[in-house]
Amino acid sequence: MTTTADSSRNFRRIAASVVVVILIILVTSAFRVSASRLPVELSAGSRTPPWDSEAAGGPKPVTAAELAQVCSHCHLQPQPDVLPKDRWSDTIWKMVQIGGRSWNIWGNTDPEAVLDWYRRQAPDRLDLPPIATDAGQGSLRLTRREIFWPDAPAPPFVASMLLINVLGDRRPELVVSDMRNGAILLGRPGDPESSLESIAQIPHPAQMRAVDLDADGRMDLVVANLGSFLAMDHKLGSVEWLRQTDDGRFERITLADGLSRVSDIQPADIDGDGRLDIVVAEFGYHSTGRLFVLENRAAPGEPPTFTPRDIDGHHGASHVATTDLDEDGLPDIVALFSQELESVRGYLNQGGRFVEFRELYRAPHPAWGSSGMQLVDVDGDARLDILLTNGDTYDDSLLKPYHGIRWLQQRGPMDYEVHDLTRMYGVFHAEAADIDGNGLADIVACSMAEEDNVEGQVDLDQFVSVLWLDQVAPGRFVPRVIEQSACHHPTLLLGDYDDDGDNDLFVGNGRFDETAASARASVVTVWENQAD
Amino acid sequence: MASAVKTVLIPRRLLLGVSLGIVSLGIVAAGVLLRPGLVEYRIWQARRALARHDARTALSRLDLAESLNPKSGATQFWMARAHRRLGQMDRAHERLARASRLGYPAEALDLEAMLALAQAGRMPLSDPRLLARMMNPGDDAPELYEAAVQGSLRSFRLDDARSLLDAWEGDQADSPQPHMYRGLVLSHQGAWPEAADSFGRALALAPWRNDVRLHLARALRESRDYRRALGLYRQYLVGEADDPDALFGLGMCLDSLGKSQEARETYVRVLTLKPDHDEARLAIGKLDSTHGRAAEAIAWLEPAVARSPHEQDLRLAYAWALQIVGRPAREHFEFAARAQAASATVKHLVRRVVDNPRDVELRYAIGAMLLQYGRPQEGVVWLESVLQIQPDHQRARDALAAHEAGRAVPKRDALAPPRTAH
Repeated sequence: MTTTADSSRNFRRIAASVVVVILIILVTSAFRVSASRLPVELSAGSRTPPWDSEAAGGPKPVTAAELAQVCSHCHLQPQPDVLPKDRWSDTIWKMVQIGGRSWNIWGNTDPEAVLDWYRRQAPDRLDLPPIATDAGQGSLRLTRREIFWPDAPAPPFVASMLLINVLGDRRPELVVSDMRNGAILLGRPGDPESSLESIAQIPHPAQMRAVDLDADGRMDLVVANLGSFLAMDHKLGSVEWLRQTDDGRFERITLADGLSRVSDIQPADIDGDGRLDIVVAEFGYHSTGRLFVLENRAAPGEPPTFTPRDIDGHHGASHVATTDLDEDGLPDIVALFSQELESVRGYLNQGGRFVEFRELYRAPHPAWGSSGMQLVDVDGDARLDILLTNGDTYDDSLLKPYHGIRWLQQRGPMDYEVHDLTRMYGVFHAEAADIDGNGLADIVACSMAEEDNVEGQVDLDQFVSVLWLDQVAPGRFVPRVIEQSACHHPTLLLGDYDDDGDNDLFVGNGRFDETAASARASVVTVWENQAD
Repeated sequence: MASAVKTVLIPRRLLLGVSLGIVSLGIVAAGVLLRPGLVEYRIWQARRALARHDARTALSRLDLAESLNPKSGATQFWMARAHRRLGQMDRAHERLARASRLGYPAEALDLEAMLALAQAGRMPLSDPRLLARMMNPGDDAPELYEAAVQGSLRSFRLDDARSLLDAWEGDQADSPQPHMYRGLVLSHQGAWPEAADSFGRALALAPWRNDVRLHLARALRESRDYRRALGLYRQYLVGEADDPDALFGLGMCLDSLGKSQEARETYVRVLTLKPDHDEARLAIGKLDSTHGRAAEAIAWLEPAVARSPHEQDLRLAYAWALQIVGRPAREHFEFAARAQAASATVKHLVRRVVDNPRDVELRYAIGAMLLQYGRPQEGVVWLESVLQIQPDHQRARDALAAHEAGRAVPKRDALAPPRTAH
């Protein structure tokens, strides 16, 4: 039986329940509202912008010792002024990506703290003063003409050239490797009307050497195939042999493939067995690349067969040459490394084995941009010096005040004195030979950078694209401009093509930007020496 | 004590029946009288949501309005606008047609149809109808600006977009929209730090805008400001916990900051939400290859490569995983190298389009290359932009037709980019 008191109690219970339910709904709704509007509240109550909550307080500052420790795992520690402020972010995070994290190099060091350290001290922009040159042309008289490849499918990109009598006739031919069109071209510069024609197809020929590899009396070509036009870690690189046949054609034989980017090769009898081996600079990219020798193991009278033997597992070897560094009668190897090493290493031949190297030169920091090396006797003392250029802008499109030409003058076995000859923005290659007939080797250099990038940094009209360092007295060079405002010369060559006793100048053309030139653009510009 | 009042007894059943009848009549009357009011209320809610740039909420309110009165022209009109804002043009046109049948004012419908064309990039700024409206926009100014800027962006008429944005900022200084769209223009050009500045300004004006927050997070991530981007992604995910793209962005930041295990877990979560998120598959594939799990990497990458064979990064990561386990990889390396070169050429061509926005050959070359080596949907947009400028451009038509039919795209010679004569 239900009493009045019971009814009253029930009513109170029901009322209380309803209130509780309403409260729960209200609280839940309020929570939902607050959760969905959390960013608003953060923004309203914070002094920093609403997106900045993670960065409150900033990263823990890095100490100089920590910084040196982190950098020196892979390279010399760069100073903040080697790059402008806005480029450090890309650079530091690229370092983290390339391998820092996986190698546990960074430890407790916060990349943001490192970035902060560099940003605070870096200049807003790099100061690029004009190159000091002499206004006069000295005694040199040059006339210019262009050599074309009428059948070019796309604008050329000349990566290397040879001036050599490859066909065995009277005058030397010009052999050109076009890395964009995947072609080896041959021309007869002695005939002013002649143009280039394709003699072989190789996907991305970066460098060529002329050599009679099979000792059949005909000149062959050995070619480094980069495997891709642009930089990438892949396995498309190869070493190719263009074997000259009886009828003057060239038969392509792959000597080694499945390699990463192969940038240079140098045939030489490394192990003294009378057969030509090939030193290979497998540049690679970030995770690939090495320096190795293809050892010729063929039996006498048999076609060459090669077996690879590693020399150095570092990537970044762009140029390679052989010379007897320690004067023991065996060919040693000289290799230019860019990437993080930025150095010239000499590998000493110990009976066909290379167990040690000497650092012949090291640039002060990894942003140096090494771009070219030639072993040449600059001072006429019958010792091979090393001519270096650094002006590679591929990584960051930046011209830098430290781009230039350096001469490592050999004073004795593996003893080099460094001479900073001149600044030259975007310099890509230099060669030395006497071009004004004064008996002293001059140096001619060319530069390459993307026009759009140059225009934003220096006056394109004033951009020195071909420079002549006139050696007017032993060791004294006067810089003179041969050409300016055309920044598309990946390589050049000095040689006497017309047998008139003076060296002429061949400048290769090529643009990274395929859309900036016609397929019919000049492949090679010839500066013919008219010296008396 | 006897009562002095005589009580009149009414039967309880009768009383209950009358009461129920009155209540029922009241409800019916209220329903009849209030329904138009409720529809209006829902439309008002939807318009408020649209003003907040929340088209999804607007649509849900309009769905309610439609269920109350399917014959409301106004409901159909605002549904068209919400669909247009979401880029759902077919649905927008369908709703406009219904609104027209229901007698909604023709002037409003014409404007909405014009906005749809402009937004799709099919009506250039020089079109007299659009110009006339832009000269005297009235209350429609924000809609007109937004649609015209979106259209300019879609057809890569960046000069038009920039001049519209200058005018819009001048007209509506406190609106976040022009800043957000300027950020999008800058993103298109790869100017990520500058884009982040613009998105930051938009977010400061409208801190509740999660869509802007997501744009800002992406711009900061692309600018390698991973820590700030990470914070923003986390804020965004408070309200949108299951957004796969935001989760992917969060994973990328974690990855870049060295938290690869946490990043991998995030990518896996992305794939549970959206199994065809190929960027997440690529990220896991790269992590697994790097950490000695090439076979697992192949398993993650394989479906993505099958689905998106034109993606350079996917092919390269797949090639490396195959190479590591000793399977043939050359075909994939070669594609990646070709795609990389094409991508560089496209960048150069895009730079030229900025200076020559009406050069159809540049646009065609970009579109054709992207069909073969980039994201095909981007290629389609570029080819469509060719036809907007020159409707009879036969190669663009052919390329689009071939793409739609699933045939091969143009041959190498047809892909050769236009070049400067030298």
